[in-house]
Amino acid sequence: MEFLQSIDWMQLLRCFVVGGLICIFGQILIDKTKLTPARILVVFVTLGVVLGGLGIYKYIIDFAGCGATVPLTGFGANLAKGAIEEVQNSGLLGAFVGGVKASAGGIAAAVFFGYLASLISKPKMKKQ
Amino acid sequence: MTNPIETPSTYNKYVDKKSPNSPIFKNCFNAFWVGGLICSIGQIIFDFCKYQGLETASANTVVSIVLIGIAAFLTGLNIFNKIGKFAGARFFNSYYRFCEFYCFTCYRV
Amino acid sequence: MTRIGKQTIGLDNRPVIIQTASIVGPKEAQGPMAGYFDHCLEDEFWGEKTWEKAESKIIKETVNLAISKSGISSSAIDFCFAGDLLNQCISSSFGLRDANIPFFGVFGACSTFVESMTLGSIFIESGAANNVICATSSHFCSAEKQFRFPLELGNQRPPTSQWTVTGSGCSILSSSGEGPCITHVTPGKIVDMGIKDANNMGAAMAPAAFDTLMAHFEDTGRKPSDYDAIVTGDLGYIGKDILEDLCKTKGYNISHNYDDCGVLMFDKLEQDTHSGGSGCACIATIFSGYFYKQLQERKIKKLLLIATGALMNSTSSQQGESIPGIAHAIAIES
Repeated sequence: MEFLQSIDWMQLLRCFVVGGLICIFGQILIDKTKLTPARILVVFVTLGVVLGGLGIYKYIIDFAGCGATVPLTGFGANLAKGAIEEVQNSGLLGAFVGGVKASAGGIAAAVFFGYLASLISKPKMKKQ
Repeated sequence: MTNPIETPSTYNKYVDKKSPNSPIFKNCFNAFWVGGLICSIGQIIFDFCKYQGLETASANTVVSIVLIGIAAFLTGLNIFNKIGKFAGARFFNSYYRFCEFYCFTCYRV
Repeated sequence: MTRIGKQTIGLDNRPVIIQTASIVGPKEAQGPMAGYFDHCLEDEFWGEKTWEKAESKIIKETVNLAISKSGISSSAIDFCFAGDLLNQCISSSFGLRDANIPFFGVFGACSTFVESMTLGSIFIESGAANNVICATSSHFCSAEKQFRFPLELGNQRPPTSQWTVTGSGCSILSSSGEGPCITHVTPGKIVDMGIKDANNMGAAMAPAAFDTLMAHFEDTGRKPSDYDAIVTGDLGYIGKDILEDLCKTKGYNISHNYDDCGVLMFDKLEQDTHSGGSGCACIATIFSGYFYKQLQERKIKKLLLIATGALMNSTSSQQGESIPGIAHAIAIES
């Protein structure tokens, strides 16, 4: 209960709205362009890297919290942030190491859960 | 009637006129609230982690791991594709995409 | 056999279609044509471990069913012409590896069924064969996996997209016997009008269907009204509309007796199949199940069957290539 009282509801609303708007941008790309989903994914991540690298994305994160970090642009910004920090710590090699290091938890989770799901479930026909 | 098949360019214009468009407003509306909802769930998990005393970076990692786990679980239950059809671009959330592609690679094998 | 005009061949000996067979998957079994197919499956696996194995089983059982219905033994079948959508046509080759019949693997994408019947009827007309089998198959799940995305990904399908039919259709052609016969074949040219959208196959293939249809009419001197029915394979709602428009530009009105198997196969609203069915099995099952019976019962006496195909693969799409189409036509009389 104490936890519920400690939630910043305005932050949650900002998160909802910004996350939704980023998804609307993706939806417009799906409906209005001939870009395949894989290409749109690349656009999002690259955009996140560029905005993160230029230091712009952190303002969006400060404003919207998870509304900015959960979408793929957040992943890109995280890669950029990780790369920049690692370069500051360990020099040029950090550019290669840092990005993956920052997102290592998520990547490992993807590999682990994906493998688990494929062991447990069978491929199924989709209904529509 | 002018010949629509005269050149590839005239034919492409003719086909664009003939082909029905996706219901973009309905799609954007669904993408908005489903995407927003997923981000909000992430935010609540993040706040909970911070409440428990985790640092920001670790909290973010926990959010990613939990959301990916849910995505893999729903994919395994064959529910994920129904959500995707309903709210297309909510896909552009997080590592969902990454996770799904990995799941599929495993399925293909 | 006489060459007529630019690209039509008149078959004087008129190979007979003595029997057909069709097997479809569960979604097709819920469609409006369900009662016409020989066998409807309850699920897409049919007891097999993978979709590819299931597709091979479907084409194998369809061919066996046609042979047993025909009353002739499989040793009397001289050649088999078969193909499908999978890489290297493994569905047909693996499915028919135990058939013990000299085998021609044929690829025409979704035009494979009529392409195989064209080649088969020429073998019979020339005296090279007395009995041939023409078969093809497609499977929604294996086709999506190969051409588009894994099913679990849940991508949205635009309104122009079509649904690959799961099933197989087979016809047995003979130099003798009773049944509807093939009188003319008009093989088509590859026609590419620059459509790049793999989700709008109907629009990509319609120009090829138009080209073959015009060639057939000009070569034979026939008109649309000479046929009781003109049927295309899988142009879908959008491609069908486009073909009717294109024919009007040359003064041919086909709207009175024209239909498309992709439109017939599914109920658009109930089954949410957007622009209709597609795949090699679309025309193969609907011809083998429905139109063949109509011809046998002489409800349709003259049919022009045009199968349409999109000659692309996932690599060409990713490289930004457009989609070339092809359409082959055969004229059948009962």
